[in-house]
Amino acid sequence: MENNSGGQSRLPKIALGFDIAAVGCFLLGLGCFYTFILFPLSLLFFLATVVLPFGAIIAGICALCLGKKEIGAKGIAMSVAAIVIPVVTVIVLVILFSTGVAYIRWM
Amino acid sequence: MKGLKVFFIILRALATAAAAAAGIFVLYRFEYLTEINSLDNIVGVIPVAFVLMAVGAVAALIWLRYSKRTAPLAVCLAVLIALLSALFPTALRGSWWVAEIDNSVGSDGDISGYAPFKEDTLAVKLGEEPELFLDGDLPVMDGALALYPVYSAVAQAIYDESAYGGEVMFTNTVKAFDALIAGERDVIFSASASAKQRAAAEAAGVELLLTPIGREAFVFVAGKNNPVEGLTTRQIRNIYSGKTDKWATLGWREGGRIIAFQRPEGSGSQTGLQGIMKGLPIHAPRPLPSDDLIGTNSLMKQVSVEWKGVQPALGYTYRFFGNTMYPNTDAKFLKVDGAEPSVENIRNGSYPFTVNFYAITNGAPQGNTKKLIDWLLSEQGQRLIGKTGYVPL
Repeated sequence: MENNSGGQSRLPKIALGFDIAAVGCFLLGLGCFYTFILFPLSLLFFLATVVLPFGAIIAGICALCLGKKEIGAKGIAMSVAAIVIPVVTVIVLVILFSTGVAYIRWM
Repeated sequence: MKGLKVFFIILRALATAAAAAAGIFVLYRFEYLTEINSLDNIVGVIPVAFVLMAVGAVAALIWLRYSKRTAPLAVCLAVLIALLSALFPTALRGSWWVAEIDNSVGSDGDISGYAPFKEDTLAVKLGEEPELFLDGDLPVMDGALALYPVYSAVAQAIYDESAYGGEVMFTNTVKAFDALIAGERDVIFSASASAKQRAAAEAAGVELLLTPIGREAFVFVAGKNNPVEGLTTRQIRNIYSGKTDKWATLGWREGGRIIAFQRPEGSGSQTGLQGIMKGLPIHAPRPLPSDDLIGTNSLMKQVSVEWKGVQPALGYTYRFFGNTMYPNTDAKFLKVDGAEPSVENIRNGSYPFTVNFYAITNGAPQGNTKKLIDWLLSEQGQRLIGKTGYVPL
């Protein structure tokens, strides 16, 4: 089962998938919160929003440890992206909220 | 050999159960299990997510089949557990901001109108012959902003005006405690002492003696147009522990985020909130969208501020401060557990946040300071406290 990333492991795709799923969960969480009827579900989605990026980072690191032979060049790029995206996102959010910019836009 | 394998499986199962039990205990301790329905924001959810992740990571480490291939995962999980443990206190306090946020308001105000012996002073007059009259060695008084009208009225009632040389001072609660500990004040007036102030006194070898002289209500204040008329104690604890961040959770869909103002650390009001939280970490103040929201220096003005057509602010103070010293017709006191902070409810104890306020001395009071406190506890002294707007004992 050779995949088109040039390697065998699906771990990089899973790692990146966690990041994308985190964004999806955040939006679903907001949606559920404001529909009121689905309010209890929003908690689950918010939990997933926090947990999934950690999963993405761990999966990304594990994928990188498998080596280029197993995950291919594309796999390395995807793994690095899976690790960097949540880190950069958190840094940007902390700065935006600390300076009040995010509140001005979204509050 | 098979017996040994079963033994290790049981051991692993027990270790996993212990980790899960520890996680449940932590969530219970910080009221996340009982108040799970009140969680309405990601920052408030983070501690729960951290606990679940830590328990999951411990379980994964326990059951992981160790090999060269799984070694990176084991290291990642171990690092994750360490990281989550280190960040958990930050998550509980929600203090993720890069700079320290200070949205505390209303710490100081103009109280010069209450100065004693001044023409047209707002300090109440006793209106009868005082049973105690001090004409020398006048005790130096200081204290909380909201209690200045009380001790100013006391001085006006029992101090000899010709001997008076500015013994009634107002610095603020924090500085008053420092001055009392340093021996620069004879008596200060405040609603209790914070843990920090007690520790500072103990470190200086000073024993703070707190004598209750009256009663007061700790009130929560919101804008007049806020449709929420009251909160429960649980809701208040949820708001200030970061679990609840939106008025929608409290029944006001259009209210947006709750702008929950806090007061400076060490102030009487902040100590009052800490008492209500009963050891539950108070969430760090969140950054405000505009400096206009912290532009004034009065909490009672602050809570009526408008943002995008609504009044989303919430604050807390003492009743006297809000209804006598700085009344604001555009703000209102909220009921707590269904009870209004009225004089009657304070007296009969149906309002839950009723506190004593104290005359605090550095050790047992001596000389005129003792006479002054004894007089405050007398019928006449209590009558004066009632006249100022506070509730006598």
